[in-house]
Amino acid sequence: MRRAFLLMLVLSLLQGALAYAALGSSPSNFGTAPVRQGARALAAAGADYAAAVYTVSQSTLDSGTVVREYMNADGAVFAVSWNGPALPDLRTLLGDKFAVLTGTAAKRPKAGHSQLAVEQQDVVIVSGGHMRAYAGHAWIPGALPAGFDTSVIE
Amino acid sequence: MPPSLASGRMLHRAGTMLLALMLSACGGGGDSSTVASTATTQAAAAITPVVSISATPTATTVGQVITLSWSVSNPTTNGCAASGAWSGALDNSGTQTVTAGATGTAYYTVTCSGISKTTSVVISTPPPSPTVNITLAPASITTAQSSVLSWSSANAASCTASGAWSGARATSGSVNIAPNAVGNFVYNLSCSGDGGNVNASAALSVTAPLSNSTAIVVDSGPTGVNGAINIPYVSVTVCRPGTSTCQTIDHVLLDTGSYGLRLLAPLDAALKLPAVSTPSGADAGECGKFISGYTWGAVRQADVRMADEQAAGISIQVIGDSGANYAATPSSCSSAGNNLGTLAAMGAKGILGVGLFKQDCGDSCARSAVGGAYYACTANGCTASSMPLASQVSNPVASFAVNNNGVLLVLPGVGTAGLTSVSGTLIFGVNTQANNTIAGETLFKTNSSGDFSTTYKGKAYASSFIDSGSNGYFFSDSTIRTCSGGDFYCPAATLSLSAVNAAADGSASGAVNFNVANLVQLASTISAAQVGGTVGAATAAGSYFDWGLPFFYGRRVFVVMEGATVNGKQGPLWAY
Repeated sequence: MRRAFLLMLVLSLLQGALAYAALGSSPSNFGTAPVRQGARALAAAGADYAAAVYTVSQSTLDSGTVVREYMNADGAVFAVSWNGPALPDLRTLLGDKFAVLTGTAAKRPKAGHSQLAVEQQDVVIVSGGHMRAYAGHAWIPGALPAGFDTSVIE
Repeated sequence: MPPSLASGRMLHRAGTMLLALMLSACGGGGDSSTVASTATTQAAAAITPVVSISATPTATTVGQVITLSWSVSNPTTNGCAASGAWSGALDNSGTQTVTAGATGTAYYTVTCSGISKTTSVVISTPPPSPTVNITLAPASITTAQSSVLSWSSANAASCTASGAWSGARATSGSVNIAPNAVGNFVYNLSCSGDGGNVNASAALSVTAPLSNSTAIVVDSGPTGVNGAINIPYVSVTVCRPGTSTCQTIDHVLLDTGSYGLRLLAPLDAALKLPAVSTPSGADAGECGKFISGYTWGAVRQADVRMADEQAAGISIQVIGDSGANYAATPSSCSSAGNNLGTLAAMGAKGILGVGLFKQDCGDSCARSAVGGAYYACTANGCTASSMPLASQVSNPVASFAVNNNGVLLVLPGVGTAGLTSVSGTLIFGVNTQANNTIAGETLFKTNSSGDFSTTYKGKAYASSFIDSGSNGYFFSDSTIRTCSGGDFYCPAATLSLSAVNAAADGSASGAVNFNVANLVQLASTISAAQVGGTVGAATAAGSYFDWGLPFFYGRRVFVVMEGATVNGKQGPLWAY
């Protein structure tokens, strides 16, 4: 964990070479055709937001892990989640917020292995579970459709 | 000398010679026969020799010794000859031993000076010799075990023990032997009967009992690690397969949340652990993925030893292996987060995964080239590869010869103030020996992912688990203050909390009371403490309560692996 700053720089450089960052941009290409689920009305949609909808793109990876990407009406991904036996490619899934994930460990007051929860103004990232059972999610608070309740993220 | 005697004994002899002999033998006399004697004095040179022979005993058995004694009086020639059942030249008198021959009557004749005499011995079949057989099953035990000493005999009337046992014994039987000392013990038995005596013995090797347990220590970690908290360490020995070239590595993280052994390079150069191949024949590389980051390195084969247990020739991961083919970390591996492949980042010299499963990936990696798991590595780099189950990095416990169905972790209680170090025990096997038997503990079956349900403050978390590799209780509670800049909890005062765990099959449930102390208020020397952290706000899915190492303090926690059955319930399951 002590080398996180150096790693962050390295990984940030790597980021620049990757064009398929997902969170905050277009959906990821995992090599399998995602199941585009029907547009959903926002759960908390009131009269003011009647037109606001989002869609969920769901992919099942070779490993069996299910990845979901939540897109707003413009097709931009504002939230992602994963659940399954293998950790998905978080660099792909988190896009430029991947560096936030890698930078978090350095801030921990004690060394060791734990679950990961980042709650910043620009991004929320939660990653947890154990080998053969990983789960997590991330979203960009500022990009959530109005009225979107993050507790519906699967 | 009465004439009747002379005539009775020597009637067949010539009359004059007989009289001369008798006179000579009696030294003469003054009666009427004196005349006759005198008349034959001139014939003294023709006195007849008298031969005698006797045998002792006169009845015996085949092969026994017979003593023959013979003599001749008034020999006319020097020496005698044996014939019949014996042969050869003899002195005029003597004693000689012979061996009884075939069954029947043996005639022993001696001929001296032309006169033969014969004696006979009745030779019968000897009584059969006794036999005895003595065995120990097994012949090699530990002081914690026993062996059965069995013996049987034939043609024996009595037996006597000596050596490691003593006294009169029946002619057959068995006894249970439970020695309490180490050593080699010889059990002798001597049996006798009409046919003789016979001895037999059996040797018992007694060694110290094999150990199925090794020490756990929760301390400040190996040199080079700072700020470790709640990290359980064990020592692990790895050997070049089939050899005694080994290295023991201390401060390996004991992790019930992963499966398989991963060790930081460099290992001893002498080990030269062989590379494991992918189905394509390339050197296998692997990415181990943890919530806190990844481990990249080679898959190599080793004998893994702990206590007196050995997992022979299993795949382990050598993190940061110096092999040229593993030089570049694939981006699909580093995409898991931070590199854990340093002592400082890992907080340990390796990770020993002894959780609920046998392999770190399982069927999905055997079926296809899952991204970010196994790689075929050549001089041209590494590409994703499938990996057969048998070649995957695997939980060493599953490959032990015995005590291979799970583990038991025993750690002492830790108060809210914490402790600078804690010592406990990792015991291999569940319900296989006296020291790993489930007693009052409750079985909590998990789902196929290794998870069960925890209900905390009215909300059920369906993907909950127990993980000695997590250094705290990790759960969602927005009412608890987090530490500055971190995801650990820093409540103003220690919290007393409670949650209810329920088995995935609904067969059991129970409340767990626990404490969460303020992490940053602990003394800097504290290595074991009741601390926790957040996993963010609860969402619809993927919600969990992570029972990390503090859960283990003051408990006996059993890990029963997939495929194993204890107390009528099939793993994967926990018992505590």
